[in-house]
Amino acid sequence: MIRTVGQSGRLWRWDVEIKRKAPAKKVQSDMTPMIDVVFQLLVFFLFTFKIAPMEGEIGVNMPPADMGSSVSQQPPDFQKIPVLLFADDNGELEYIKIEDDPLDDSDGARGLKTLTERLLASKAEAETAEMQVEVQIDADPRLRYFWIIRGINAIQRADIEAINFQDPQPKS
Amino acid sequence: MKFRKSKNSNVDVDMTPMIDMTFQLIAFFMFTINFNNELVELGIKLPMAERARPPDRVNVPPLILNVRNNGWMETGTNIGIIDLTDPAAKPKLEQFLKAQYEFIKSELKIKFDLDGPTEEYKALAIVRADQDCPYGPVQTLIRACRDAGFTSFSLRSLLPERR
Repeated sequence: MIRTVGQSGRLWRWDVEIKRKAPAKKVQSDMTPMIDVVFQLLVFFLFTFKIAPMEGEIGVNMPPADMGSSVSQQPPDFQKIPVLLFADDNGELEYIKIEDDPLDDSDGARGLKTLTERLLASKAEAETAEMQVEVQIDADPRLRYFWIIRGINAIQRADIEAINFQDPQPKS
Repeated sequence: MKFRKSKNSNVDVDMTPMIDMTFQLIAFFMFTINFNNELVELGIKLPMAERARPPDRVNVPPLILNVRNNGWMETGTNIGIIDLTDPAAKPKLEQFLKAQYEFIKSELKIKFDLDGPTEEYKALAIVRADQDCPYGPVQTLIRACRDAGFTSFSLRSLLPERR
């Protein structure tokens, strides 16, 4: 045991520490408040925990309001294809037109498969002329949003990402 | 018959495993909690889109617009619910969107010293519309957003289940 005594003859703190040789006592800390708080936190997180399904996004181009959406505003190497979606009285998709040409709806998907095929052909034509394609969706306001997304799916299946929305048109 | 009286001994229960587990659970919940989900109405049935991409990281918090199947939109502000099918509600909608756009602009000014949205720092409006909602209210909303100054839009949908 090392014993050092300060100049004043009294024992300093470190002297005491060196001197101490008593077996360490088991310190019993009270865990109850910590466990209380931890359980409070756990209950909070359990009640605020929501299992939300994974969501994705579809980007939509909308030119600023002052630019309008006329063809003249498009870059010259952009081909705009208007796709018209018409609704029946229940808001379901009735038929599709590309420009003024109604699509064959005997494909079992209300014309959506035909739409993809037609757009693929149009895209291939545009690419040979070194042009890009933008689809302008023009839908009946009564049409269920479900069909809008189905329409966008069909357009994206033709590898066309540039999609724009036209003002809603009433059923003709 | 005589029963032997047992000694009243102090039993120490080892709390360590329970505390370990509890901390593990808290850590899990803390890392998975997402307060942005508070802006999302879980009652809305989103349509499924095959080619939807996972949401991009954005520099500025986007404006999330929840449209219910009846064409109503909960603003989450003192304006309350806006009926997008009602043309008379248009001024209320414009007021709400203008205020939201100004808020995003002020965020851009404070955080990035920008006078307005740019290609990198977009003012993004996310439309979460119910699949049974008619297209008219959604179109009204997108047009109103554009008139308020938003130029970047995205339509929320469910991602297809991966197999």
